[in-house]
Amino acid sequence: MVEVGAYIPLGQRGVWSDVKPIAQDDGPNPIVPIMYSEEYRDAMDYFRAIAASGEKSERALELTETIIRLNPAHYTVWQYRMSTLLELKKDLEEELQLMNEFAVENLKSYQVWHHRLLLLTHISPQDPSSEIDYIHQALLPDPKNYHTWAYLHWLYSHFSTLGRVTDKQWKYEQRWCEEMLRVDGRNNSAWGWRWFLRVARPGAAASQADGVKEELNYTLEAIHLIPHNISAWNYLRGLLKHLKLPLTPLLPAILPYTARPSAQIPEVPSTFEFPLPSDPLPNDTPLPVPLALEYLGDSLIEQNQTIEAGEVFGELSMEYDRMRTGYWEFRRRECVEE
Amino acid sequence: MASSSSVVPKLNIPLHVKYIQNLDKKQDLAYHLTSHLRLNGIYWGLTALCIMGQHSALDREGVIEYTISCWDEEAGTFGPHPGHDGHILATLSAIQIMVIEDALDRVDIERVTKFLHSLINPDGAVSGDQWGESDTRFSYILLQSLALLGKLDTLSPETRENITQNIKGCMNFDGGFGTTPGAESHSGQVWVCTAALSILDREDLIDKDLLGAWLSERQLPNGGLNGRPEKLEDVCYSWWCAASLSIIGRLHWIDRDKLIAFILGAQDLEDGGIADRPGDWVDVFHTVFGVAGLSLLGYPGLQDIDPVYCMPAGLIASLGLRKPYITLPRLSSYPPPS
Repeated sequence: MVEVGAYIPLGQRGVWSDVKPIAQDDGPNPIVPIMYSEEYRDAMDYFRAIAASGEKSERALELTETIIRLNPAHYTVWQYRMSTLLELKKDLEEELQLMNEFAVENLKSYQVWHHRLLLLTHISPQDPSSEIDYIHQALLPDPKNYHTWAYLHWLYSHFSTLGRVTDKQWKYEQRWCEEMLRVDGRNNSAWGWRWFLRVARPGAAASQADGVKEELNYTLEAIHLIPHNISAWNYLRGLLKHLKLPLTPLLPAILPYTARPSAQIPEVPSTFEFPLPSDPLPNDTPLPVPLALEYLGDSLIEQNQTIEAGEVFGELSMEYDRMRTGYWEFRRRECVEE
Repeated sequence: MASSSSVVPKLNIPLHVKYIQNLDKKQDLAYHLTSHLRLNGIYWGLTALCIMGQHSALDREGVIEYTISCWDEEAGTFGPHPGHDGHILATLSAIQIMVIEDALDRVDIERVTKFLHSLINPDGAVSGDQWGESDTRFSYILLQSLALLGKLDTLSPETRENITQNIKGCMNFDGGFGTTPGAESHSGQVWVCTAALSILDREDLIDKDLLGAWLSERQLPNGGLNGRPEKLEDVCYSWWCAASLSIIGRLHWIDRDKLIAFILGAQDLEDGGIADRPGDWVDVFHTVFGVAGLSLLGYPGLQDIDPVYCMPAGLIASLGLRKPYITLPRLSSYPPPS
């Protein structure tokens, strides 16, 4: 009679009766001896035995699942599982479903993602959209997960190289990315993804003239929604630099954020064609916005007004962004030494 | 629990030394689940002790014997624990430990070099193992491992260039670096990429002003540093960010005193160790990176740490491996007299 819930050692289960388990060797005089739970220790003892004999069987597969459920980071066991799956010619779509379960049960590690990547490489679907949809879903409760975003990037890179990503899919992905940013404009991962979709990937829209204006508009609108959004400012500065565009033409959209006692904000020229800040500014927008002052300083340098630029950096150093005094002093001194 | 008091405590070196010495006496379940990190853990503990001037607090012969017992004869390199497959992550930790303990003569350098070379892909990316997951962490590990073994010159000029270009391909529009081309900039990846480029003598490829500005922006009002915009501060970024800034010569672009206060506030002043932020549980990972960050910032009573290798600076210099970097002057007392 077995007590309900008690762990039954593998050695007492008929299916393992022919295997002699190999116990953990912690090396001579272990500096860091390890206390194992009975279940984990038992499973690992049998894993060592089958790994030593190279057994690739159903029970081996089950054993690897037991172990990785207890320890999702054990890469040796993941690798053994993968080679067993391939050896047994198992249905890899089913394995993908299992990985979906793992995710729901919050079993996370580099290895879960890499295993998924290998599965998709082997399955090699003609249409990757169901996997893309799955990743989109996975990002909902965890919208900044670095591994998930890197995996999404790999998915698109890998399958577009195989010619399996349609124009429609790219457009859909852009809309999805914009929705992520609508939900949280400060999601830096989503901004990085937009860069790939709109600027960096082969055939990206922002490499054409129309695409450039659209991109600048989008970024400025984002800043106007959340004036202190570091990601949006970094994106704007990155765009201008990448496309080799000057800062000064956009200045009227930036100046309202530089409002401070020492400066008068000029009128916006009637010919200005880019989105302007809302009037009034969004609630709790502390002024001035340091990133806007940096933009102003760099624009002044562009216009050869280095003395005025130095003064702006001086204000940032002394007053408006004192945490980064070291950086602003560097910028100020550069202007003075010009 | 780490202290979250508003009075900044001093660094309690004797307590942290005892914490590290007692790591192997833990009896909890979580400990065995991290056997895949065991060798890394010893490197972290040993390095922290070196920074605190207590190198001999761990028994040298014991450390060496354990490291040697992690040798994987089939792979021709080290695994993280006896019986685990050889892996690049364990390889670097093993080499670092053996160099610190002056026992490199007990390592089969030729075989390890061969293993390292086997991980280099034709496009210059570096894999973690034969299953191919590539990541700029591995590029850095490969380069540091070869450098410490005195085998950097076994890289052909073509391979060296491929590795260099692959790392450069991971540079983003904000000046930072990710795990793979196009992946989001992240402080941890910034460190491995800047350190790798430094070892390659190609730090000229880094936009130091842009990256320095991005890194200085990681500092939050509470003085701690984060890994990317809009994420939480964490003591380990005191190392990833500060070491990066040190390598690119811009460590003075963050607020030294605020960061020191943040790290000191994350100490557990009862049982020793440092946590990821004040109030959380400690671990050896955050302990080493906390004291390493303090060392770079000039906190008194600590030994110099090399930001490229995260190893004792004197040792690296004596091996002729030192690359250019700056650190803040070593203070004689803290807080400094006003």
